[in-house]
Amino acid sequence: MKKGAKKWLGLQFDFEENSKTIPSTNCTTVEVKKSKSDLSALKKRTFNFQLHLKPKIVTDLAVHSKKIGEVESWLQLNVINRPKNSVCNQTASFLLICGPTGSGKTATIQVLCKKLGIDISEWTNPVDQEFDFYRGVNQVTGFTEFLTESKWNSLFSVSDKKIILVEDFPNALVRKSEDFGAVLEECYYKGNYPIVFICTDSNDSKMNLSEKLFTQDLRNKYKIVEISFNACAMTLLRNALKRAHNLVQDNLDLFKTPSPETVNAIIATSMGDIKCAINQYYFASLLGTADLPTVSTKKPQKTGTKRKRTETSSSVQSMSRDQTLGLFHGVGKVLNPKRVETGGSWRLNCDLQKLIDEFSTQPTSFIAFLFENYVKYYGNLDDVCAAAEILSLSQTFLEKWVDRQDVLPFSLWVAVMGLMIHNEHRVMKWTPITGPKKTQKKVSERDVTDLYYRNIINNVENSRFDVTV
Amino acid sequence: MLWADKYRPKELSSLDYHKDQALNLKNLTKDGDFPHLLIYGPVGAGKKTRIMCLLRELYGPGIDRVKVETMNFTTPSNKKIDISTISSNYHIELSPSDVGINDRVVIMDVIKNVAQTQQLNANAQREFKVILLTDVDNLTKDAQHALRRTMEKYIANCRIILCTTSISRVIPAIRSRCLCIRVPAPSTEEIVTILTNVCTKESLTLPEEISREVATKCNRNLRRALLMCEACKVEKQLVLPKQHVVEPDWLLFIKNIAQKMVKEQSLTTLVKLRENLYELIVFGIPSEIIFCALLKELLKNCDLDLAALIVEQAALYEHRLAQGNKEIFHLEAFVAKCMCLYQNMMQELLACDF
Repeated sequence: MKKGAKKWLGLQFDFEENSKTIPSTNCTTVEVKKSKSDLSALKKRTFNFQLHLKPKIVTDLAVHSKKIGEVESWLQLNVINRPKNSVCNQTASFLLICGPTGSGKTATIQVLCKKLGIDISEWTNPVDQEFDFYRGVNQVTGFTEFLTESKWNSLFSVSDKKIILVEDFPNALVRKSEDFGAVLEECYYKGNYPIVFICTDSNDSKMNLSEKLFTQDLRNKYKIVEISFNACAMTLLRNALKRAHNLVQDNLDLFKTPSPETVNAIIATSMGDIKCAINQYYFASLLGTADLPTVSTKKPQKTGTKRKRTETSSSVQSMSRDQTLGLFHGVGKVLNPKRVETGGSWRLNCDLQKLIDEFSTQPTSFIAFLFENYVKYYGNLDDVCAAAEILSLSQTFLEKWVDRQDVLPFSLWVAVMGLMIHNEHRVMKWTPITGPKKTQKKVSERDVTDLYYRNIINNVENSRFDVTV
Repeated sequence: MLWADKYRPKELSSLDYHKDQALNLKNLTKDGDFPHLLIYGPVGAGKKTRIMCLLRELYGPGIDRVKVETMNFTTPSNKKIDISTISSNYHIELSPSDVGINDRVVIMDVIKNVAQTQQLNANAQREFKVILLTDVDNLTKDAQHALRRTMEKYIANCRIILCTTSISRVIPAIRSRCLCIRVPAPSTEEIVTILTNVCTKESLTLPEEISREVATKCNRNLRRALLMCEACKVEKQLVLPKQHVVEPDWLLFIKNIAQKMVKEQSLTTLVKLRENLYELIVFGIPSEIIFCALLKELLKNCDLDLAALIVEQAALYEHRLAQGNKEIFHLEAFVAKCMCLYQNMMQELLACDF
């Protein structure tokens, strides 16, 4: 990149040049990204499976039609029917799309924009800058400039309608989320084009951008519209794979047809992740591979091709997504222990190791949840007594304000095992799980124990505890 | 003004009890210097009174011109914290444990600030300032270690007086760097004398029975005794011989909890009691005090065998309370255990009857 090009526009132009190799020049930067991750380079005759499978019309999308409708109406309202030539008095509109990975967030925006003839310019975090060479604006300033000043149309654009897409948030903002308000403020008053933010949901509260960056205050202040996507439904996944199937049928010289059982296994394992499903399908259909071995257990089926594939290409390491347990699911598992009789004794029917690994990052809150709810699931005072003792023991591992990471899992082990084992008289009824109580001490007074007398002396009302039996 | 503040002794020589100790303290400051001090003893024994007397001995009446201000600190993670301090020209008093986990930052910043400002006129004043830290036992381990290091480093410019109820949670490194002085609670007799004296100064006649009752009910806490006495006076205008001394509401509440435990041992009671315990905690009653009061009340209702068991359990959970994180866990475990023990005893009794 040239030294003179200080604005992001220079960089954007670079991308356009690259993208000339790709036949369609409509949504430029996005496709560059896709083609880089293309795996079909391994094949002799190059065939871009991903590119061919990319949804091109609305019906191709594996998204619920109502969601598509919502996004489309937003685009209609804020881009197509936007009053022209009213640069002043006009504030930018924001849309926030969130949802789990592979629920078709980006694809929906792309397809809809193509349909409505809207250009997309997308922000990507610069990775190739050398600091010595490119001194000057920092990442956040660059980001703000891109959002506010990308008003010049690209040479290849077909219309004057344009949105700005942000999926890749600058790291500086992720680390210091409080700066984001200032960026939004700038864009809100200066920006000329609607901005679409795409956030992927995550279980980790630290990484959950839609919560962290877009606080409720900001949402209210800048009238950010939120549309949240759900994971792909089974039927939609099946339809998408049917399209893939047709594609394979058209190119039988390159691919083989995976068996229906494999397709079912893929749908089961991908857990509503369309990207994952299509990747798996792609590998299942490669020539010269055996049928994906499927493990049929009571649990969702798992495909076990990891070992075979690693030799060919290292990017195929994970075939199935990790099954993540929600907090409530985990709490429920511990409070409703399942037992299996083996011989004269019984065992817990639960993968404890997995359960504990799942919550090892947040032992305090998990145990707090258990503590808040365990009494409701117990039917006997002696059991509760033992369980309370165990919970108290588990707390000794979580010393006051000392984060000793290595002992934290022990507290989880103690609490989880104790609660599961001591629950001899389980209450079998539906009980809602409640969140742990937040106790905020009122530290306004020094000596609360003597406050009662001081109130008497000063003739202040004294009724904080209900002492009636 | 409360009696407790009004009649607080201002001079080491006018202290009412522990006169030998007062003399020692006076001798300590004779040369105009003293080592770091760690003053400990039960609540209401007069630790703070003695510290202020000592400072007055050292700096003169200027120590009484205090101002209350809020200091601001920024943690390394850019979090802003406020803490209120009381300071005069010669000393600064604060309780760093108010800010919880960030107390280390407070301690280091305060000591550095104080230690790095030289006294302008070294002849007129002492060449050091005094930092008075209260509630040291609630400091985090981190903060205590930070304190240890800074204590050594800045000994030329400042003296630190630590004030705490128990030294068991103060790390040995700090204990060995300080002169430890224990201030025991006054005896019942001493409390009675002080109450009578105070009432005389207020030109009231305090009947013997009431002063006795207050002295026994105040848990040898002089401050509370004075407050109780004044509360009696306010309630009845005149101090009458047959007047009943009221107990604080939280104590009655805890007694109430103990009664509920004895009355019915069931899961519903446990759930209710958890709510009650939460109420106490939210109100800010220290969990150690909840524990003690609960235990005392429970022991009234049981025979010797059961009492032994209950005390054993109380010892176990009290220890965990000091170690562990959330007090409600240990309190509830104790309540559940006691209810179990009580239930078992009742069942045994029934079985014997038949």
